[in-house]
Amino acid sequence: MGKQEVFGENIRENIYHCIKCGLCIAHCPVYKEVLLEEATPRGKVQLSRHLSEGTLELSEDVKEAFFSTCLLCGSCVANCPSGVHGDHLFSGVRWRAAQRYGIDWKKKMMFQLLASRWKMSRSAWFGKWARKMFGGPWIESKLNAGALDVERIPPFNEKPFSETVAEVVKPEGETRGRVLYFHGCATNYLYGDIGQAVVDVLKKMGVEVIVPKDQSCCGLPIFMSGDRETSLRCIRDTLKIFAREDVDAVVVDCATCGAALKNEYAHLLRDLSQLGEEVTDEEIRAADLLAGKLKDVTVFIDEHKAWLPAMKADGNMLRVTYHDPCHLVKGQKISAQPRSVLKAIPGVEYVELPGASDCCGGGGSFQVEHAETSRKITKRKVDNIRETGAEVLTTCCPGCNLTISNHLDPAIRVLHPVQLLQQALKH
Amino acid sequence: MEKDSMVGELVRLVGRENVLSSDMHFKLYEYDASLIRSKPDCIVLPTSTEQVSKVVKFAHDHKIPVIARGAGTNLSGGSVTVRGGIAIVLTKMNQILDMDIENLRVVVEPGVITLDLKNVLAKHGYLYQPDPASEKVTTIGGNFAENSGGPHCLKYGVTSNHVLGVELVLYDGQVVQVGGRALDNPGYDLMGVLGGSEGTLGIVTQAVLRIMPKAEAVKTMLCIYNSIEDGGNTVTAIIGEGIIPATLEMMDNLTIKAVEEAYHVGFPTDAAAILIIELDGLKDGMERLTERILDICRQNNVREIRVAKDQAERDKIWAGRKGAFGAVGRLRPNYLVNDGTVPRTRLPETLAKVVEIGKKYNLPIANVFHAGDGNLHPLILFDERDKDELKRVHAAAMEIMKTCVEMGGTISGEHGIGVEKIEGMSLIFSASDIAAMKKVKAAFDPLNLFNPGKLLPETERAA
Amino acid sequence: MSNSNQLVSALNGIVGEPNVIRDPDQLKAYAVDGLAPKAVVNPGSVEEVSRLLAYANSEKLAVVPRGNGTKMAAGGIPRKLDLVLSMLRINRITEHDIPNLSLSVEAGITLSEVQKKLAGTGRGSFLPLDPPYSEQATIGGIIATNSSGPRRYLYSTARDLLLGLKAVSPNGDVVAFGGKTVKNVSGYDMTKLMIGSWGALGVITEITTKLLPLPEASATLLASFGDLAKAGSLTRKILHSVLLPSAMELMDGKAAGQLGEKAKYLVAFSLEGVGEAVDRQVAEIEEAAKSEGALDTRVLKRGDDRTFWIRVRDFALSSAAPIILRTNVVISKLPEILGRYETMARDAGIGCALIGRAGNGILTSYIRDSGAAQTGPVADLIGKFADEAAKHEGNLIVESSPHELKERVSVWGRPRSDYVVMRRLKETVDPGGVLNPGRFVGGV
Repeated sequence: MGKQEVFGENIRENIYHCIKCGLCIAHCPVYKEVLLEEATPRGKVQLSRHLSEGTLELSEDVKEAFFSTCLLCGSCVANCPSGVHGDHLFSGVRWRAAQRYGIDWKKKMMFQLLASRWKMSRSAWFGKWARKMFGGPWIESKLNAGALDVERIPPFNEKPFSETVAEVVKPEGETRGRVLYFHGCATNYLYGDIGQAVVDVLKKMGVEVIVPKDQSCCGLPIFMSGDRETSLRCIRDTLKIFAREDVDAVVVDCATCGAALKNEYAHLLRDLSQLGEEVTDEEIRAADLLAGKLKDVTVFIDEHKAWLPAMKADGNMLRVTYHDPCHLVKGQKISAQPRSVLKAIPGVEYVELPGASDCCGGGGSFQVEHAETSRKITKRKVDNIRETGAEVLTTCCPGCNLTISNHLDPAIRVLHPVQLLQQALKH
Repeated sequence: MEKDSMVGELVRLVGRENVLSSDMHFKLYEYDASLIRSKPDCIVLPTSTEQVSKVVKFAHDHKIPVIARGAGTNLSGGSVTVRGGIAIVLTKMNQILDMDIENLRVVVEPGVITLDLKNVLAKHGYLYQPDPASEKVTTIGGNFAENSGGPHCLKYGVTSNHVLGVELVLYDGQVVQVGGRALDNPGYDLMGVLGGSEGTLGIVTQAVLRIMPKAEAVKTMLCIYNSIEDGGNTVTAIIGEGIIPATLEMMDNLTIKAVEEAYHVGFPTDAAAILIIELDGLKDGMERLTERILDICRQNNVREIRVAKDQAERDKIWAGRKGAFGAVGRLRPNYLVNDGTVPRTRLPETLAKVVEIGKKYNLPIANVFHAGDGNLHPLILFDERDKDELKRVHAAAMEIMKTCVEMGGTISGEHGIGVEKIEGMSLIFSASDIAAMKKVKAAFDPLNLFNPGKLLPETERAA
Repeated sequence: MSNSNQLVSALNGIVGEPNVIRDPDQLKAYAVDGLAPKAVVNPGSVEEVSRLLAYANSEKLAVVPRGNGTKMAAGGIPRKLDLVLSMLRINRITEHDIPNLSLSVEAGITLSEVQKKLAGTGRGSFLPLDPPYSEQATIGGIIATNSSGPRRYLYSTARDLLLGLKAVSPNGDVVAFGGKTVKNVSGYDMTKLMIGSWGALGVITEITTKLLPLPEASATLLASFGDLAKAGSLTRKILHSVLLPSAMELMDGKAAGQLGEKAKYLVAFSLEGVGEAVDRQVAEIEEAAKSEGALDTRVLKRGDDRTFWIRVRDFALSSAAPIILRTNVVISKLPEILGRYETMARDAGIGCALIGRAGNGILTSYIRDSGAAQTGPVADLIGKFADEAAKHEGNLIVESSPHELKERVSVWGRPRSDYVVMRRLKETVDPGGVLNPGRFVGGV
């Protein structure tokens, strides 16, 4: 590895604002389980400093520390009084680590799939077929996906969501607004119901929903694993389609996609540009434009509550609670709007979840590769949910949905808030 | 002793998974929250008293220094292995062993995080009073070693007033019980001297804490001033009236600005100072006491008074105060926090001097202080990469310590002497005083294995 | 070993001849456990104390510091006794910082004199300590013995009140620790180490302490019970409530009778603070007492309440009990232990009055002296008492007793594992065995 900067200048300067106060330690979900300094954000910031100054070799165990003891949940960033951006630092180190050590071939293959829409839909079809043919509880119970119980992973959608919906969905009455819908991979291949609910609800609100057919993966899981090069493809593809002036908002139903489009694209492009990569000013402008338009779908709905048709209760009360996805509450600072939407639904008895903004422990591939730590974190979340006595857990992230529902009592349903809204609007 | 054989032996004693010895780990455990860095020779994370005892005995047999460490948020260098040796990290010993509410006691392992303990107690309606600002990350063991304070110590005392017993590992690995659940055990008050001993006398592997029922009522007020002097005079007047609130905290303008930027809690960024006053106790008479306090504030030119209406508002005020240190990291990359304490009445004078010192050395100083007990925390802001600035910072710190002593106070109210303030010890102690303290050290740790290089100066210089 | 004349002339040289007592009849009054000193010295300054101890250290003399002697009957039998060092002339108030609510005062002044001065100055304040014999006991003695009274329930004891302390080490070094500030972690907390060190680590010459403003109002509530368990139930209830009495005592019928109250078991509460809070607490505790089955309740006010507590505090003076024991146990077991002691004393036919600090787990037993013949049975009883205390993580100290009894019982209770450190501490601080040799815990 030649002499290359680990971080761009802005980020490098940020390192020196870490005063080692250690307050971040109180918020790190991994540290709670592992209790070692390398698991603390502070520890990784100090290691980043050494890496940046050249006083520490990016050895295997350093690489391990940055991958196995961090969910990139952003809890430390949200709580650092000095404004140190641990997430940017740590993903930067992962990038240099990936360059030096390569990425696990299974993961690399996965990323190639995600980055190519065509390949992805073929694989999804194949996966669905394979599960039908060769799957079944007995086999699945033998399969290992880290902390995930394969049996309880939802089946692939019959068809990818994008194939079941028109490119432009017009509302029934007058058109009050116009949005682009970035549905992301999870909704497209696993949670088609959520996608349908988003479109239904927005349509009933009088909003025209554009669902571009050729949208790709947001690239964040790829980027967080250190494969910046592959993720750049996704970023450029997404910017081409979604950075548009002529819509009121770009809505997402996934907190991670939201964080990517709202925060990470602009940051990453600037960082790469400082490190000498070829990034055009136009691309950066597009990223900023997209960031300005991006809204989580619950935020959009909450801001236009007046557009919702009247809802009647059907007499039954449903006890509902809400889990704040890390990338929504910490990354985008959104926590009030999903709750506001839920409380507006008649028939919902809303109860606050203790530790609502504590990480679910999933972290995308983290739960597969670092199962033990992940399981411990998820257990705390599950215990808290049980304590509320809720019948439904809602959350705005399919990642959290996947992780939590995998470990939660099957009697407790896990839904996106729009799904409850969709049901209420049916009456 | 050869590092490899040391590591091998320690692996044998505590298990491979509890021994760290890579370059990465040395760098991870070379610091705390002070400016001092120094690598340990090995790091162990024991999970039981027995393991701690074995490690200490091993260190004793080979004359290797040891340091006990919790979360490593020490502000005076107390957790840094300045002479190398073995860092005994106690974070894995984090169990609450016994909630003995009947006897108003709780028994914990030293790695329990203070706020975690308080949250568990709160569910039962009980409190452990010490509330250092770092409570969400610091451990009970660390609090005891430094004798941490916090805003509530004005009324309730500091950590050593609430830790009533410990299980202690001595320099040769022997485990003894000091104090306990019952009060007034006969003998010398070893508990008294252990509190605040900064890990130089022994390692605590269990602690018995005093708990009490939650107060019936709490009233939190935020008072906004156009001058620090007015705020300081209010503090003196309140105590002079015979009212002892639970807390009396003050922050100056620079700090207010940093806190607002970091936390947005609603502190007015154009105020010269804010005073946070909290009363607790029975609700009877609290309204009358509050009115008296507000009167005093008005008599001292208070600009605005906000009384917290509910727990949420109260939490917001405290979030701003507790995050203050970290928030100043936005202003400049590093800070050195002073910890001088002066008699309450001399606080405004002392602060004026601190401002002068800041000007003299051309350094911005943000101030947070426990106004009620005269403990100030001037935060000298700088960039440690600027070596000249660093020199000026140390000079300014020394001068601030001298000022506090001249005002009839002392050099450390709650952060400990560590490495950082050793030079200041001769400002307040004579050679005889230091000799007396060295005898205590010799009685506990004749080989000077526990956290050497801290707290006591090596050579005795007369005051 | 110096001879008499050498000793006397050295002492005269340090404190002046009028301040040295040599007359054998007078010396008898200063005997400790039957051992009379060679001389009693009365220094008038810290410098003199320093020179005295330096001299004693170099000549290997054993010194016993003394105030007004209210606690001289405590402790183990001295191994040696050459000099009694009286601190009565070192008795000034050196600083009363009214706005800062702190007080610096020398060791030889009595507590009651300090309180009088404080109450009459400015808005009135007090040192929140109410140990026995407050009229005679000196500050130095009180602090050295960590003496406390009923109001420790709210105000705690010396270790939570003192801000600083000055002393003279056994080798004559003059040392000062702490200061005037409420918070201080500079160096080791030597002030706490000296509190309750019974004169074995140094001679206390001056202390600095926190003060509190005099409370606005006060009252006392007495509740009498026929059933100990019910009385214990009341104290338990109040212990875990939000109420803040300044004292909560549980005593047996003998103690209550001595105080002029008819009750098989008496629970006494002292309430102090703002008027509204005192009234509310009196009402609430009275109600609680009734619901726990109190046979009778009475409220004392306006002077009667203060008188009552002085008599509780100074119970030893009125009871003429030369044997005083102090038992410490975990708080919740106090009522049970009181009951057990009552039964055991009755079975042994030994008169014993019991007063318990129900909020702190401290029980004081006052045993009437029945002559030398009873030494054996009393020693047995004390042994049983100690066993009982040990069951609840406690210990038993003999605070006062004739020296025949001291030969039969362990006055400092059972040894604990940390005595190994205490022994090393004594050896390091006082290698010459100058101060109180043999009188403290573990015989050090």
